[in-house]
Amino acid sequence: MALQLGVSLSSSFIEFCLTQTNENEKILSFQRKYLAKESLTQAVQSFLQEESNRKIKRVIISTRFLEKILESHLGGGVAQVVTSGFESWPVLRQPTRPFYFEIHPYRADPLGVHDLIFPLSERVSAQGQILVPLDLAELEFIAAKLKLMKVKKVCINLLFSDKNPVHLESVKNFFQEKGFLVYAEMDLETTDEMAQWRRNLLNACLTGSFTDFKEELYAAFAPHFKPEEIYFAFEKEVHNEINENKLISLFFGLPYSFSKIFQKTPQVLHLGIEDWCLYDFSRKQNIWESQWGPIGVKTFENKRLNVQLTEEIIAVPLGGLNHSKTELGYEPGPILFGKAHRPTVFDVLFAKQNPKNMEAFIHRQVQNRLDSQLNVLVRNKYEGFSSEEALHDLKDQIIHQIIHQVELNVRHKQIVMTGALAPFLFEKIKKRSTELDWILHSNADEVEAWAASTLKGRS
Amino acid sequence: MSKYRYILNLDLICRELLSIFDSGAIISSQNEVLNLKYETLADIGTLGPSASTVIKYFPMKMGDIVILNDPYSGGTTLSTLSIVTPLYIGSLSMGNLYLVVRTFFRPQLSHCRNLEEEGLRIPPTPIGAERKINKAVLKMILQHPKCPAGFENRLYDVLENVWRSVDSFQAIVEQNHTIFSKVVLQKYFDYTDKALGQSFNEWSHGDSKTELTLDGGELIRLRTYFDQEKILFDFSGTKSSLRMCLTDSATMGSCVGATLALFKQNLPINSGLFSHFQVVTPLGSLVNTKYPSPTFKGMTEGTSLIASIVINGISSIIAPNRIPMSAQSPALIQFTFSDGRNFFDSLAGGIGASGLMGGADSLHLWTRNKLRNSVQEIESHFPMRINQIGIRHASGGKGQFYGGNGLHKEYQLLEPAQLTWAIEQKKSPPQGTMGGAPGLPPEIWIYPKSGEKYSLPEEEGTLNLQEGDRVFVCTAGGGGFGR
Repeated sequence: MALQLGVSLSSSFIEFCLTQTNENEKILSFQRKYLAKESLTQAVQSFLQEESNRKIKRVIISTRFLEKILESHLGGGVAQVVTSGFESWPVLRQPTRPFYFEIHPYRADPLGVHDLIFPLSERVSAQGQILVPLDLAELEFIAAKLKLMKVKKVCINLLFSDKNPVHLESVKNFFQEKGFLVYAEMDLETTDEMAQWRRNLLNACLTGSFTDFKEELYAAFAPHFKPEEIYFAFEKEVHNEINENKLISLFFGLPYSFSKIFQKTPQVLHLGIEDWCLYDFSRKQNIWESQWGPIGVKTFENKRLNVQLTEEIIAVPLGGLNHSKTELGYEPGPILFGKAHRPTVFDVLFAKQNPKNMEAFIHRQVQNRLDSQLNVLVRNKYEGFSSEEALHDLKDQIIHQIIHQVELNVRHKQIVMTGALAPFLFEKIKKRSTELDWILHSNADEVEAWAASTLKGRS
Repeated sequence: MSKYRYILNLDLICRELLSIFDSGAIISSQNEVLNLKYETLADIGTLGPSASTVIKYFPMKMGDIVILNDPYSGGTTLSTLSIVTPLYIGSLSMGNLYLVVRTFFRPQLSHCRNLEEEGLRIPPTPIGAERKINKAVLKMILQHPKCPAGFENRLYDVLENVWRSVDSFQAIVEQNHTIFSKVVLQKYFDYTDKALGQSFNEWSHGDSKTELTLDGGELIRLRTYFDQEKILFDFSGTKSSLRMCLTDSATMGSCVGATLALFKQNLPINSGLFSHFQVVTPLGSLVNTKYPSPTFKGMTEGTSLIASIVINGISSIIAPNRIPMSAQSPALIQFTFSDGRNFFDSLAGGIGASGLMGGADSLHLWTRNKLRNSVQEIESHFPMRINQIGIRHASGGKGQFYGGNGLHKEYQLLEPAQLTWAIEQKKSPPQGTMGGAPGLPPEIWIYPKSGEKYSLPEEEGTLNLQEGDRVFVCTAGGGGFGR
């Protein structure tokens, strides 16, 4: 029997799920590992060692590991060649922050450095007509300058390339022949040039770090699997080749894999270990509202919940305690993971119970630290409540916040709950939200890796 | 259950419900604002009154729809449509609840002296019942020559979201009656009130007087009085205007929005917060204008100017480092083509520097601009070309901290068109403070296809242009700070 290994790789966890290709509802093996405790290579090798008696045909990976790259290190040194007259456009089009009125507003950080934006005399009209022809001498000058600056990556961001790609192709070929890495993907469905340009820029910024990550990944799976046996889920396909012009696509592999398994019940509340999100797989969207501004991406309608598992618990101006907008992540993670000191939503939800599927990560020895931190917060904010009552109240509040957000955003009565936290929260949510028809997915805990394992790959 | 939980849940429900709309508010039948989401300064002061006007004159049942854009009934500009519908009618102790949402059409700029010439004015008009639109009423609106393009489709799109929200909200209320009680609502207001009061307490209190003379010669006078409990904005002595006219609600919105921006507060905007503010606006002055004064400029540029004088007024009391003047009035540009297509653009100037940092280049301070700015989208829809857009270097005022630069933008017409423009702060550019230099004033240059270039000296006007003519707009820089 042919077996397929689905892998879900996010910032801090890796999950493995083994299924049979012709009977993939049944999970043969599942593991979840915490990457702060063991390296990617150790995690992969130990899983494969345990499953060494099985013949696994291929590996399919859906990964949000790139989020970790974005948090810590975006590769610098990316040049942009833009239509002359629009050198400042990538900066001027950055969204304003904050969202509310403030006398010192600022722009969201642009992806590219302004000093590395080079104008190019060329212009194509909205009808695809060439108004200003290309000047190759200018390209030589730009290339020479980039070599002097030791910049290797170039984004070609020209207006109306989708209407007439002749300049784009010429410039792309020019820089490729000079040995540069060129990012010039055209998106025919996104009309906003900045959504297209940011896509090229983000792909370029990710390349360096992703190359290292890819090599580490292939090394982790060697010698059991060759690179051509390792597939990745992208925003609308599964493939074993990774094109540097499509790295962003990897962010959206998880929704793609979900869309394949949730066709009959498209409304899904995913309470994963790193991401809580409401999906509607019956609706598509062309824009991803990223932290750098809108980026052209084809994915399914989704809304990240405004409460997330690693958000810190803080006192709020309106009174009482609530989750902040700051996600602390899993390094060091919730207090219950052993090393941290700031209580999170995770700590509140599991202060008194152990979720079975995360027992390996939780250290009850730090219970006193958690109790003490929560008591400090609770002490002056919940008059007349004991610490235990206050904790219970806070937990209930979080659950209600999840419910209210979902109920105000769903379009269908039936909703599937899935994700590592789903088995623990399902009954509480279902009991309090009686207007919706809640279904707990049978593979809720394993869903991310399991969904990957059910995909069919193309090579 | 702790008292906080009800309040936080009520806050979350209101914010989440309003999040899918451009702007909107939830109002009770006692005319209390539960929560409000704004897009502009004017929204802050007018969303409540727009719903209150409808509630007062139209007894509504679930599924009824009333629309309006009339600024004298709580609207803002005639290109902004407000839609009011009941959110919950039942036995809640806080009273019935109503939802007012807004959607924005591409504005139409004109230099008229009468509101009726600015566009199609829609007083509060019942347009539907039982969630069905009255086609006859809709047809009358659509047939009006000044009806905004895409009105019908936009109305239906917004209503689709409205009904979804109403249904979800009803379900939530049925399961969580206790959250929607008068007691909880009062606590919500009290805690918001208290939170803002605490931030007021952190600053010194006092009294200040400020004046601002607009390019047209109109005078705005403001006395600001600030103590722990209240902040009073008294515009007595402000003159009238034929062109820059705000309603009192819009003035209120500017005062509240500017104050919150200065205190960096992201509190819920509700009746608890409003209780701290008192705004005195003489009837007939430009901050409390009467029908049929035109309001487009007032609701756009005017609100920005009011906000800037409010910030000056407060900061002269609380901040040793005064906040210099930003180029807070955007440059408004419009091309009207012979087939009736209308292209409107709003170009931001530089933000003034403060004692802490330089100003940002070309940012809209008082609107989160929803106008489509994509060059490709604009050129695909209008017979024009945008030749360049860039930062207007060295336009920010010099100083210890430099004011933000404005921007420049060049349009080229591919067909004849009428240019309409409005730029403020041309005669009195954004000033610097504490020895900082002013920013450069805005400019508009015309480059005819044949002939010499020339600058437009007036702050507003209209001009017929030919195919091939170019228009080069430079927005103002922000004022600098310090020597």
